[in-house]
Amino acid sequence: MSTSGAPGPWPYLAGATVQGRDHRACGRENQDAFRTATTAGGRAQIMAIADGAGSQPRSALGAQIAVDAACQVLAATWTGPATTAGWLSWLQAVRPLVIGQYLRTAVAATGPGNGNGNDPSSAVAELAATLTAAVICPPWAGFLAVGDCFGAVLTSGTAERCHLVLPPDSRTEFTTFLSSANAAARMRSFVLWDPELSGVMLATDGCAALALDHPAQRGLAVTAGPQPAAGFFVGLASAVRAASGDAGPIHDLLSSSEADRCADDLTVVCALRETGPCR
Amino acid sequence: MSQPLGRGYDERIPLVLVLDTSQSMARPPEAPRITALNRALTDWLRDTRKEPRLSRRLEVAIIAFGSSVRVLDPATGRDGPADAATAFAPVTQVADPELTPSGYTLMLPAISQALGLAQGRRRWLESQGTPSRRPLIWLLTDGAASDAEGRPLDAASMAGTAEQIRAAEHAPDQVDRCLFCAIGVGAADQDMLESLAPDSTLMLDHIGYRNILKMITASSESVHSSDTPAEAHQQRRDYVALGEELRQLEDGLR
Repeated sequence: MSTSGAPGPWPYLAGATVQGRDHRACGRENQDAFRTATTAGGRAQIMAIADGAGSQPRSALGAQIAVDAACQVLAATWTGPATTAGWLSWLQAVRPLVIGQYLRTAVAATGPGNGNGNDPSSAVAELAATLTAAVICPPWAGFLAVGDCFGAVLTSGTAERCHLVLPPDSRTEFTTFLSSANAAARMRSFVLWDPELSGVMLATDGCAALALDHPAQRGLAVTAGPQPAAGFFVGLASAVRAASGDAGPIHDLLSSSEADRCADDLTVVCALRETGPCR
Repeated sequence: MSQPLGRGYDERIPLVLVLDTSQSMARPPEAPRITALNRALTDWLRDTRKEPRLSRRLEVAIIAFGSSVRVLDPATGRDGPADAATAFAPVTQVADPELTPSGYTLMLPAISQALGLAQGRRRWLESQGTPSRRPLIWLLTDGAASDAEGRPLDAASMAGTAEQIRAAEHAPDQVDRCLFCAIGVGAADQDMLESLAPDSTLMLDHIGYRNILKMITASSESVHSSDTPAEAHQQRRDYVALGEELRQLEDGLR
């Protein structure tokens, strides 16, 4: 699945999701989801991606509920903050609202009699999903994240550069989901301000091998953590712009033989402006 | 896209092969099992190295056991270091081992060594910031466990190792978890293997080492981090059953 279009502040908005090789092999559905939205008046662009828990039978639905909840809550509550403190205050306030909206919808979706022994918490656990969302109102970009998706921003000076502002959790078997008891405590949120901001890209953890360099590949210490691969972030951004915002290049990469390295479902969504100095 | 995509961040799959090289592997004299195993390992390594995805992900350690337990140096195929950082190598860098049969069947110390190496490897990968899956340990044997004097071990003697395997599969900290599977060929003692690995013992004498190794490769990729040990072992049994059906179909067509 892919989508393109940009009613928000930037001209290009594109995303695609491709079922992973392991899921194709065993007949499991794609458990990733993404969604985009704009705030009233189109001042801010909202992007959300979610990765359903592989172990849970209804996590594909859970991922869809997660991105829906994020887009609904973020669009409805966005206040257009103009300071770092204002952004942080708003992000802090929406964190429980997003989780609450997800849980309410998840409980409703499970219905009576679902789950193990009619236990509502086990029914909601069947819908376990991670969530990462970004709200972009250049030069600001705010982020919310539970779990191991990751995100990068692009900045356009003399050449476009990528920065991994939201790295994945390297301990991949310790994922926190929206349905986890500690989700609110483990949710990460932050805002950045950069007048050279030229793009924001979010990806599910299945894309890690394609999108990230191990620090040793750059001669860096392990503590430097994974580094964003320019060929993925900057390359995809260029290709999407060249395609006038069409999501085809994302879908093509995620379906390519290169992506065969990855086992999990693959999802990328991005919002981009033209490169060059900010206008 | 002219710039490279990600490098070095592929999710690793540590695999430990625990291979019986006791004297019984010299049988039958006209076609020793050890010769078939060496040939199958060479072919398997050659084929796996050519597979781009596996060559980036699969890392292999080999332990051979007879009257002693030997961790092979992946670079040379000879006796090597027994630490988790160096006993494993990407499958592209594992030399063809030349296994020779001799001695008794010190299976239990070999399993203990494999569990320690696998858990150590996962910890080491974590410390290197490298994503990884649960390590897989595959025991291949044609006999029954003995002590250092060659005396067969009874069920009580196996209990400690069986408990060690169970504890490793269900370790409280997920980073310490691994999966253990036993494959019996020839005159392997099925009851003994099942006392060690009740859910994951496979008797596969009829399919040959080459197909056994292919099955190991295929199942190494099919184990998801979220699968319980029971689910992972069931998948393996399903895979073997499917392979068996396919072979029967092929035989029927001939």
